[in-house]
Amino acid sequence: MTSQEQHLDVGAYVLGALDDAESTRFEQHMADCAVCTAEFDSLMGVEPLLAEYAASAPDLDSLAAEPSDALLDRLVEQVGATKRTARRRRLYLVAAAAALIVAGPAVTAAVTSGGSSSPAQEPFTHHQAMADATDPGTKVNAEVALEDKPWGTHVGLKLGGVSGPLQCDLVAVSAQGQRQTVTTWSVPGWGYGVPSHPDPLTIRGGTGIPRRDIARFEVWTLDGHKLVTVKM
Amino acid sequence: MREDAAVTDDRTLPSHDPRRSTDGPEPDEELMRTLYKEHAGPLLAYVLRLVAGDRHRAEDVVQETLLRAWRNTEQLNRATGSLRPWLVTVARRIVIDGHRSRQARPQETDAAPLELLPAEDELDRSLRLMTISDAMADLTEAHREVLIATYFAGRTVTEAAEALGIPAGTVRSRAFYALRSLKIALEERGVTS
Repeated sequence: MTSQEQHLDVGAYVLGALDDAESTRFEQHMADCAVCTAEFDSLMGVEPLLAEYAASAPDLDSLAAEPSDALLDRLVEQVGATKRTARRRRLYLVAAAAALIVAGPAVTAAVTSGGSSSPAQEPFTHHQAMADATDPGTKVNAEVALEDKPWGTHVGLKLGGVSGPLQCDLVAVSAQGQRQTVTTWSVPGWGYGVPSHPDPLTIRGGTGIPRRDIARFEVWTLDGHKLVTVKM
Repeated sequence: MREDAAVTDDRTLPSHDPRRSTDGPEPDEELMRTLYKEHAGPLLAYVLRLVAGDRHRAEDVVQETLLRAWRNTEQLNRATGSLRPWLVTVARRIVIDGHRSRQARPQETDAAPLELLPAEDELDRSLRLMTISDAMADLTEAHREVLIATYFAGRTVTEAAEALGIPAGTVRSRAFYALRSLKIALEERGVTS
C-alpha cells in the first residue's frame, strides 16, 4: 500500500473497521506521519456520537430508515381534504354575505338562482295563495306565493325574463292603497329566466299587510320603471 | 377571495422555518411539505426507538404528529425556537396512548413503556439524537451506506466491501470522506461529544 492510500485508512481506523494486521500497520504509519496524527485527532471525536446513535437505534434497518414517499403523499392528501372543507365553508359564507349585501333592508331575504332546495322555496311549498303574470310590454314574468304569518305575510317571488344590470324592488299594495316594500335585489348583466340563464330569480321577503288585504304586487326598477304587476 | 393567512407575523422567522408562510398558490400544502422535509426523517428515527423498530407503526405516529403540527401552526407560531421539542412531546404522547390501548390486548408484545417517561434530560437526549439524524442525512447515500456497513454493522473493511460489492479501497476512502463530512455536519449543528 502506498503512503497515499495509507493516509485514507485513518477513517476506517477511527471506525474500528481495520483488522488486527491492518490496525498495527496503520499505528506504525501514524507514529511517523504528522498528517495522519492530526487527522486522527480531528476525526476521533465523531466516534462517541456514532456510538450514542448506534446504541439508541433498535436495529440496523432503523438506522438507515427514511420516511417513505407514501407518507408525504398521505400528509398532502390530508391537508387537501381539510383545505377543501374549509374552502367550501368559505364559499358558503361569501355567498351568504353577498346575499345580505344585495337584499337591502330586508335582512330575511335569501337570494338564489332557483332550482336547489333552499329556504327561499318555502312560500312556494307552504302557501295559502299564489298568482302570476307576464307583462306584455316588458315581457317580464313573475310568480308570487303568499304564506300567512303572525306578523303579516311571507312572500316568495320567482322572476324571469329580466336582464341587468338593474336594481329592483317588490312592492305589496293593499286594497286601501297602502304600499310596502317586500324586498329589494339586483339583477346581474346576464339576467334571470332568459335563454342564456334560464333559472328564475327566487327571493322572499315579508310585508306587514295581512294576506287578504293584499290587492296586488308590483315589481319596479329603482330608477322608476314598472316591470310587471301581479294581481291577487 | 382573500386567502386566510397561515401565520400572523412571520417577518422575524428565518426563511427556512416551516412556520413562515409562502406566497405559493397552496400555502397550506407547502407548509406541510416543509414540515415533512425538515422533521420527518429525524422524527422517524426518534419514534423508531420508542416502538422497537416497528416501521409501520412509527410512520403512523410521524404522520399524526406532523398533521397536528400543521393544524396548530397558529399556536406554534407564537412559540419561539425550534418546533422539535413540541414534535417530540406530541410523538411520545401518541406512542404512549397507542401503547395503553395495546395493553388491553395482551397477545401483542411491545416495547416496555419505562423509557417513555418524560424528563428534561430525556428530551435533551432525544433532540440530540434527532440532530445527529439530521447530520447523517447530510451525507451522500454512498457515504452513509459505508458508515452503516462498517461501523454500525460491526464489519471490517474487507467484510463490508464484500457485502456491498465494491472494492476494499473504495470502502476505505469513502469511510474517510464520510467521517469528515459527518464531522462538519455535526459541527454546523453544534453537536459535540
